[in-house]
Amino acid sequence: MDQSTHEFMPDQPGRMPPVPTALGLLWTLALVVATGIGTKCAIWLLPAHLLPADVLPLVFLVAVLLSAVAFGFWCGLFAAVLAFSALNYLFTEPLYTFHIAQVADLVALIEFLLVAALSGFLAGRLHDRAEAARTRAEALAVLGDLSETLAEAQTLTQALQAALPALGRLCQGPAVFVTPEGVLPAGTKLDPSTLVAAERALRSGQAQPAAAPGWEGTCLTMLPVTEGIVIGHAPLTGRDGQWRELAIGALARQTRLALQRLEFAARARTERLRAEAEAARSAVLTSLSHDLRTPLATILGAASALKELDQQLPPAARADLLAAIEEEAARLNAHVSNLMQLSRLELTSKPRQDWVDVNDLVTAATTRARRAVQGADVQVKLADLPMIQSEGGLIEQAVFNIIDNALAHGKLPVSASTSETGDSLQICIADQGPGLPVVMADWLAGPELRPALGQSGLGLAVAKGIAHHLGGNLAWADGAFTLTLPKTS
Amino acid sequence: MTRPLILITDDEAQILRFLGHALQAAGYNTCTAATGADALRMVASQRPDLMVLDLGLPDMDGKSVIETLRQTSDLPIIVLSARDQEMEKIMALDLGADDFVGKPFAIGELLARLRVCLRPARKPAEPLLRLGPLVIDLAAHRVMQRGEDLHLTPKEFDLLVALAETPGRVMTHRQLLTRIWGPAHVEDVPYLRVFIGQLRQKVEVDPTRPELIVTEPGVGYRGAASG
Repeated sequence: MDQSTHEFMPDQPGRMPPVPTALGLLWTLALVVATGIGTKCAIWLLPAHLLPADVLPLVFLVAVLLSAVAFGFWCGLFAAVLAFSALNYLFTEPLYTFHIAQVADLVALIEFLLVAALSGFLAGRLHDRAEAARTRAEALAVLGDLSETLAEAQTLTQALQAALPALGRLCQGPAVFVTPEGVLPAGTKLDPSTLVAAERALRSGQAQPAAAPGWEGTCLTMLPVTEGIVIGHAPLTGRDGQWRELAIGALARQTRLALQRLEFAARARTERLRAEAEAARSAVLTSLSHDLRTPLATILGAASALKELDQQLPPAARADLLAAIEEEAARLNAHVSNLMQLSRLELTSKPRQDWVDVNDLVTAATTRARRAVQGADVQVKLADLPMIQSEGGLIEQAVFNIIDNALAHGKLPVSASTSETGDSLQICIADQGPGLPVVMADWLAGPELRPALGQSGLGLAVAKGIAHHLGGNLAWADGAFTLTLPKTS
Repeated sequence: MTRPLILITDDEAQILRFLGHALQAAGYNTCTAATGADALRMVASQRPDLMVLDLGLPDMDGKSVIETLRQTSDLPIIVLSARDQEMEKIMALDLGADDFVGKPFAIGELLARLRVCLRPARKPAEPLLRLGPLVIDLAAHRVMQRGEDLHLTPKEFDLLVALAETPGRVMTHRQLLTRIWGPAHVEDVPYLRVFIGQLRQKVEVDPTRPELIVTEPGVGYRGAASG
């Protein structure tokens, strides 16, 4: 039990019997009066040997025990006094007065009073204990259920929503959570004095008890949970208030632990995301450096071979090495310009708005691809298209990159076709290869511009960037890339 | 004399292309493999004299190719790897690769490594080792430099012998530490550095510009190639 719970517990429970309710006292009165009248009638109606005078105290003792068992210690005591008075008034000479004529009667009555009080006291204690045990069991059941639901909560709101019904059951009245985002249950209106009490509870870290009825102040007891969050609950009345208070303290602690757990989980998630982003970035760097390094290795290797093995190389090998140098230099150049373009696209300047013929651009890109890759078989099928306002150079680059990718990773023949639907144009590039790996397809569908984990090659990244930059889209389905461009931007 | 057969394993067609021309011009026969599985098959069927192996292969890690190969064969392996992938290099060497060349490289560098790795192993009977101007008499435990005796401690002597036994070939920190100080000391690289420094003071003409014991940064040391 921590410090905060002690603050809510001015007394140890069970030292003083709980205050009797008015209802209990009324029932006790009714019971004793009924017993008195009933017994009087019975004496009149029944033969004297059935109800001798010395049985009467036992009859009243039953009434005292009943009240004590039903309503507790104080009612038992009250019943004892009432029964004493009734016996005296109704059955002791002189009748119908509170005088007592004979000393023997007085002794008998006082004895009765003592016995009644003692049995009332014992039965009442039993009743109060049983009641307290019931409250405790109920509170424990509520707290047990709560710990289960709190363990399942995934968000702060979920956790507080889970704690709310439990709080209501424990305080047997209205219950709220005051959070920085507002009050739960949503839509609850709190009067200013309650909010002030909530703030004071937060600042002091101590419970702010509700004002007594009729007095000014908060109508709910405010209990701080954790940073920014306060429990408000109906004031605890009734004889088991102390137990309920204890249970609400436990509820506050459980809720605080649940919120801490959520916070730690959130922190762990953030860390994991950061680590993943870091891994992705380093993977991109690795693939980029691979893209740049391979042509460089070929150029350096071939050039040094030409220089050092000059005389030993047959003419055909010399020519092939020179061609390799040229091709790889071009590849390096393409990589570098793609890299530059990607950086430029990420800075998002507005595209130019020239009138362009998409068919011309596709033809130009195809021609360039045929020149760049030996033996490139690219079939072109063009529909009749209107001109659109866009940036031609970018479209050509995107189409070239997609064809280049298909030639490098797909299977021949590669086909390029154009079409028109509604307010957009489509350029479709298909090959007979195995299709796009799942990581690439996911990356293509996502917003990220930089290439995905483990993906080498910048071509598709640039094509995707261009498509987005021009207000269009690059998608992959059924073995074909489709570059969609809007007719009007 | 037959031309040695070199197996080139790399998944980049352009690298295979220029290496093929260059190695043939330099007097070797070549065959190529684009994947690790291919390479293992070629080793079994073609029985090459040496393998040039790129560590980044599409089907399996280059290191596992070395591991698999070393279970059955002593085939010399020269690893190609990016200059900044030190860990990869070290792991490949410790798994049994004979040497490495960092990409990109000039062809001369690769040819030099090839020559060293293809040189026949020293006959065990030979009592004298040479490292540059040094003559090491294993039986007498003596080192001569231009006719003069050098005084080396036993550990320095062992270190020098380790480097002189494989002239021109890289020895990783781990290999040197295991050999001279035992497997318990494989992590004591600073220790090794101190001994190399002492050894250089005694054998190098200019210890600040070592020529007999060359540092391979982050990987190990290389004894000067003879001849």
